[in-house]
Amino acid sequence: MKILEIKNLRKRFGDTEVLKGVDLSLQKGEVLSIIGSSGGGKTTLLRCMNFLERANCGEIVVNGKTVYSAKEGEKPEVSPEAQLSFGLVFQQFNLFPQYSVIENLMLAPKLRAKGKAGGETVDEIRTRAESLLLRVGLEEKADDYPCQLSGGQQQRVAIARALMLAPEILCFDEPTSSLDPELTGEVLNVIRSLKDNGHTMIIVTHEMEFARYVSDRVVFMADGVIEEEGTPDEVFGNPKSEKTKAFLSVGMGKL
Amino acid sequence: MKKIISLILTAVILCTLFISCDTAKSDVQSVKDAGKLVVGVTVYPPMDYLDDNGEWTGFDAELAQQFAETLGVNCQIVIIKWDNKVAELNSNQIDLIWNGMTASDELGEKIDFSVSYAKNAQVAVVKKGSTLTADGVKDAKIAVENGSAGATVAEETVKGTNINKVGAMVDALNEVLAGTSDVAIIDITMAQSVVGKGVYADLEILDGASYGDEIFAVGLRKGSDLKAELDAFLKAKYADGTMTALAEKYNVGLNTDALK
Amino acid sequence: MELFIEVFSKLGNGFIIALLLFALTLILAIPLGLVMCFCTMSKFKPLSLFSKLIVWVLRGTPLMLQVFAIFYLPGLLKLFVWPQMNTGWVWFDNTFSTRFIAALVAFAINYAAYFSEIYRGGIESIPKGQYEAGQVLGLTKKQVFFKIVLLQVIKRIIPPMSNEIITLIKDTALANTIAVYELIFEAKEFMTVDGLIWPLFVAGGFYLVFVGLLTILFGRLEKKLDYFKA
Repeated sequence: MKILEIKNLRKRFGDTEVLKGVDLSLQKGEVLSIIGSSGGGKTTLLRCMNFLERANCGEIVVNGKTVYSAKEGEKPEVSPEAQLSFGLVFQQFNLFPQYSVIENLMLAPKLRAKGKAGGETVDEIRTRAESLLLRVGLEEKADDYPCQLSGGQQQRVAIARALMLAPEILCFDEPTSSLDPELTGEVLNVIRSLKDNGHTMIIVTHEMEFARYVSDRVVFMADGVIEEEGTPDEVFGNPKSEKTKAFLSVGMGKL
Repeated sequence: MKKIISLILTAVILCTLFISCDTAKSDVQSVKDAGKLVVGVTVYPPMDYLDDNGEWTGFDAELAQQFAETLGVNCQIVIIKWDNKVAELNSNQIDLIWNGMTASDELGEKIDFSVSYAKNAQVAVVKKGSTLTADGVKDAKIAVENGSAGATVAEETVKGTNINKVGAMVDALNEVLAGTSDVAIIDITMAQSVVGKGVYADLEILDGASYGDEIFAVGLRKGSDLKAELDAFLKAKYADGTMTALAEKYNVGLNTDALK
Repeated sequence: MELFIEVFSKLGNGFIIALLLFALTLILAIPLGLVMCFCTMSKFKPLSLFSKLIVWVLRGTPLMLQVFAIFYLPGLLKLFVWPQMNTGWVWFDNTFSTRFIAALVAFAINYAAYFSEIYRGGIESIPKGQYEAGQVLGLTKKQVFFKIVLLQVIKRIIPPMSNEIITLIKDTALANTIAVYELIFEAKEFMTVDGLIWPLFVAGGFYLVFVGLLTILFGRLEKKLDYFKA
C-alpha cells in the first residue's frame, strides 16, 4: 500500500530552480534514503514535504488523500493534519532550550490536547513520553535541559520528540552531519531500531554505509531531479547513471 | 485578514494624528465653563509663594484669588517653567500669568498685558565687600535669569560682555555666592526680599546700579476678552483701597498713575 | 531639623511622582513596544515603513523636545487641551495633572520606540530552526511565539532592557520641563526659594538607591533564567 506519493514537485528560489519536477512514492514501512551532492535538491525536497517550503507546483498525496496540490502561482494553505502526517528531525536538533527533555517531548501533544474534549490527559502524555525516552535510551535524562546533553543525546531527544506526534512518515535531514564521529553511532542505532519497529522513514544522509545498510530503497538526486532509484544493492553495487557513478566513486574514495 | 488588520491599524494611527476639536471659545466663557481660573506662576516672593501650610499667598496670589472670586470661579495656581510662559498661555494650559511679570515691549508682541499695577527695577547684586562698582558691571561676569527683564537689561542697557543665563533668579544669586559669576542682575522686588538674609546673608545690592523703570502687569493671551474684566477689577481694587493695603503688607510699589 | 523633615517630605512627594511616572511608563511602554515591534516587522510595507519612520523620529529627537511638544503643541495648534482629572479626590486629581498625563504619554511613546528595537533585535536573534521545529510539531504561529520564542527573547533582552529601565528612572527628571512636580523639580524649588543646594544631592541619593534596587532585581532575574542557554 502506497503511504506517500509525490507528483511533479517543483520549487524555485528566485530564478534558481532547485526542484525540477520530482516524482516519488513510498510504501508503508519502507525506509528510503536520499543521497546526492550538496545543491542537488535533496534537503529542499524534504523541506517541501514538511511544508517548511511551499512547492511552486506539484502534488503530495498521503494515504491516498491529496494533502497538498499547487499549480503555478498558487500558495495553498496546509492543514494541521497534513502537517502532522510528517515528522522531521533536523540536522541542528532544534530542541527548545528553555524546556527540559521531557517537556520538549510533551509540549506539542499537550498544546494539541488542550481544550479538546476526550483528548489525551497530561498523565497519558507523560507516560508516552517516558516510554519513548526509554526507547532512545535517555530515561534518566528526562529532567535535564538540552544544554546539559551531548549532541548525540540531543538528536535522540529530537527523534523521540518527533515520534510523540506519531507521524505517518518520519523524515531525517542529515541527522548525523553536525555530530562528532564517535556520536553518530548512537543516533544511527536508534534509527535502525525504528526500522525494526516498522516506521516509515525518509533519510537524507551522507552516511553511505548506513544508507546501504538501513534502507529498503535508495534515491540519488542531482540537479533537482531523481537521477537514479533502486535497492541499495542496485544503486551502490551497480549504478547505471554516469552521475551516480561519479558521485559514488568520489564518495567511496573518501571512505 | 492580516492585511486588513494592518490597514486598519495604519488608518487609526493616521487619524489620531489629525484629530481636532473646537477650542475657539471666548476666554471668559471657557473659564466660567471650566469653573476655574488657571493662573501660572513661579515661586517668587513676595508676589507668589507658599505659606507654612502650603497655601498660595503673596501680593499677586491674593489678587488672583480675589479676581477669580469676582468671576465666580475657583482659582487654581500652578507652577510653570518661566521659560515656557508664552507656550503655556497659547496652548491654553493656563489663563493668566500673574507673577510680578515685567511688561516688556518684546514680550508684548507675543501676549497681551493688563493695565500695569506695580513698578519694578533691576538691580545688581554682588558679594559683600566686592570691589566691583556700577561702572565695572559691564565687564564683569554677569548672571541673569534666562528670558527675564534682568537679561534684557544686561544685554541692552549694561551691554555686558560676559553674560551667563541661568534658569531662575535665585540661580543667578547662587552663581554669585559660588563665585562663578561676579554679579547678578535681578528684580529689585526679589532682591529686597531675599538679599542680605538667610543663605544670601553674604550678598548685597550694589549701590548706583539700578536699571530701568519697569512696570508689572498680568499676562493674557493675545486678544483675550478677559482683559476688560481684569482691568476693571484692578482699577476697582485700587479705588477701594484693597490694593494699597496689600502693597503695604508685601512691600510692593504700586503703579498708581496707571491704576487711576 | 525642621528643615530636614521639610526637605525629605517634599522630596519624598517628588519621588513618589517620579516613581509613578516610571511605573506607569513601563506598564504602557512594554506592551506598546511589542505592538510597534510587530508593526515595524510587518510584511505589509506601508505599515512597516510608517512605523519605522515613527521609531526613527522618536529615537532621533530629544525626549525633552517630545515632552514639550506633546504638552504644548495640541493647545498651540488648537487641537485639544490635555484633560484635567476631575474625580474630586484631591490627591488623585493633583497627582495626575494635565502635565503628568502629557509627560506620561510622551515617555510611554518614546520608551516604546526604544523597547520595540530591543524586542526586534531579540526576536531576530532567535534561530530559524526554533520556528521550524515548532511548525513541524504542528504548533500554530501564536503558540510558537508564546510557548517557544518568547522566553528565549526575554532572556536575551534582559540586559539591554535593564539598561533602558535604569535610564528611565533618571529620565523622569525631564518631566520638569513642563513643570511636573517630580523629584528634581522639588529639589530645584528649594534652590529657587530657599537657596539650598544640598536637597539636589539628596535627590541624587534617592535615584542612586532606587537604581541599586533595580540592579539587584535584574541580577536576580538574569540568574533565574540562567538554567538554559539560548
